[in-house]
Amino acid sequence: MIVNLILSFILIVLVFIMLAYLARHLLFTLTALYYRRGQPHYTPHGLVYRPTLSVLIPAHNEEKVIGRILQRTTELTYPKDKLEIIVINDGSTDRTKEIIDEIAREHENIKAVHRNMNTGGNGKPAALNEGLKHATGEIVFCFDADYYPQRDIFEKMAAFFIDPEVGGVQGRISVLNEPESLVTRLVALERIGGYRVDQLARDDLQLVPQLGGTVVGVRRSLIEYLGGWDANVLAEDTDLTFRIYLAGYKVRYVNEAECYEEAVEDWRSYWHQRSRWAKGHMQCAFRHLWPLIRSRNLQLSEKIDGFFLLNVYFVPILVGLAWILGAALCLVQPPQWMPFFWASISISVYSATGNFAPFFEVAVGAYLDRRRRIYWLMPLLLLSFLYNMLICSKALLDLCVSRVVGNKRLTWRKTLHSGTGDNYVNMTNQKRW
Amino acid sequence: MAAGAVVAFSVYPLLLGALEGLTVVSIIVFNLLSVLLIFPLRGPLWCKMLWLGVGSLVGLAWNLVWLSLMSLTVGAGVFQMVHFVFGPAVDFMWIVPVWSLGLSSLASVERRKRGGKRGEPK
Repeated sequence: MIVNLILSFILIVLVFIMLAYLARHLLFTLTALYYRRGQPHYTPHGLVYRPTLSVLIPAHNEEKVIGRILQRTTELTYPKDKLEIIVINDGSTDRTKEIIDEIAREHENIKAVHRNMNTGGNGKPAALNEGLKHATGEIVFCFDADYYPQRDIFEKMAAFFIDPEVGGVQGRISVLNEPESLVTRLVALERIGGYRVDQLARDDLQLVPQLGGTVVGVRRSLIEYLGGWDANVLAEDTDLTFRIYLAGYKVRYVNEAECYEEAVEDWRSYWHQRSRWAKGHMQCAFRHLWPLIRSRNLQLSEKIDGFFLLNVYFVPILVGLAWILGAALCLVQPPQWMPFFWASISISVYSATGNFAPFFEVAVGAYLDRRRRIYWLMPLLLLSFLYNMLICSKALLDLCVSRVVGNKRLTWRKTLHSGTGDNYVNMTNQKRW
Repeated sequence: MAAGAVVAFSVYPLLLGALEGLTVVSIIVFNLLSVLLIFPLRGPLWCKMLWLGVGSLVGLAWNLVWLSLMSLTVGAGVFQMVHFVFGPAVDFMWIVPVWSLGLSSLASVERRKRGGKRGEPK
């Protein structure tokens, strides 16, 4: 009897956590649908604000994709005299170095920074810090090597820095190689929910839009003041987001500043990438939760949203736990209120991970993007969510083990890119590297 | 939205007594999502009503299948066991596709109405 009561109590707590997340995402969905009344964006296009920019592109064994992004940087519309591109060859053992050097020779504003195999290859934050030493622009942008930005992306993003309170700006990420496999299609769904609805709504509601690790701009003075990127954190982007907010600055999200990524194509790569994100995010939760609660630089609404955001990678674990507990309770003695609680678990398992966007949020994102066929994949969100339950549980276990054995430094596992994104970019007249 | 709300929620009193608990909750969730997120969108009312009706009918059919399976396996407990273990994944298996298809069809109708026959934008 007592055991039954305790189990019921735990289940009720878990279900209320899930309901809180679902309510939050329903609010985001309604905001994305109605806040702007059909107006797609608010970028101050009339504004002419052109600060000097340094674009950091770290690359570790990226021979299949580095040529594409470097070629693209030569086609950007931002004034060339205000734009420097810094490519950091992070101890590559393939042809990355030769490709970078060849392109850098032809273009004056592309600088190559080489780290040798002894100093390089320790993860993206370390490479970014190395690039930061060479940066001279007022605003520092970061792009991953597999990305492909719009030509006028910097005009759209840099304009937001005219507000002195803005410390960082995040652009939208879409999947370039979406038709490649089931995994890329599911990642595309996650991106739609995450950016078109989630980030946009958080920006509209003046909550906490999150900086991703790429398509990101930060004030150089601010990032230098903060001591650069933390090389001990696996999710340096989430870490930076919270350090910016705790320092009293804001982050803005620019939906129309779009950049295309080459998404992971198989479940194995998906596991490695998400595992790194989950561990990094959990690290950030342990690190920033208390400072976030105590900070005087954030409003209550920002604190609440930040709290939800920091804990988002624990949610799949909690959903799994609620599922097991619920099933156990039903087997012993099904409580009368069970159908209502069961329904919240049911909605939760049809969610995208990363931001825990439920299926209705993802579908509304697709609708706002005027997509027609992608809705057919919505039931498969269940598949990726179940997979992410395992990923997040393993990540938490790994973190706990590393804490117990005293190994606080986690190894950075690089995401491999196949270069199939080239098939979806109009590169007919361009050289393939 | 008002029309959707009236249609969607006037049927609950009729359903409550006759259906299995979770089915009622599922239909409520489906109708709520439709009324809140689909009805206010631009698009013909007949399309929204049609998918609201389709969703409710699929929900009822689901309930029928469910009750039949339960009555067939009374005493064995195997079905109950399967229900408890896989419940959260299975119970909403009809909601997600039907609701998404409703949205998809609304997007298509709206697109055709605007005369757009271009490729799907990215």
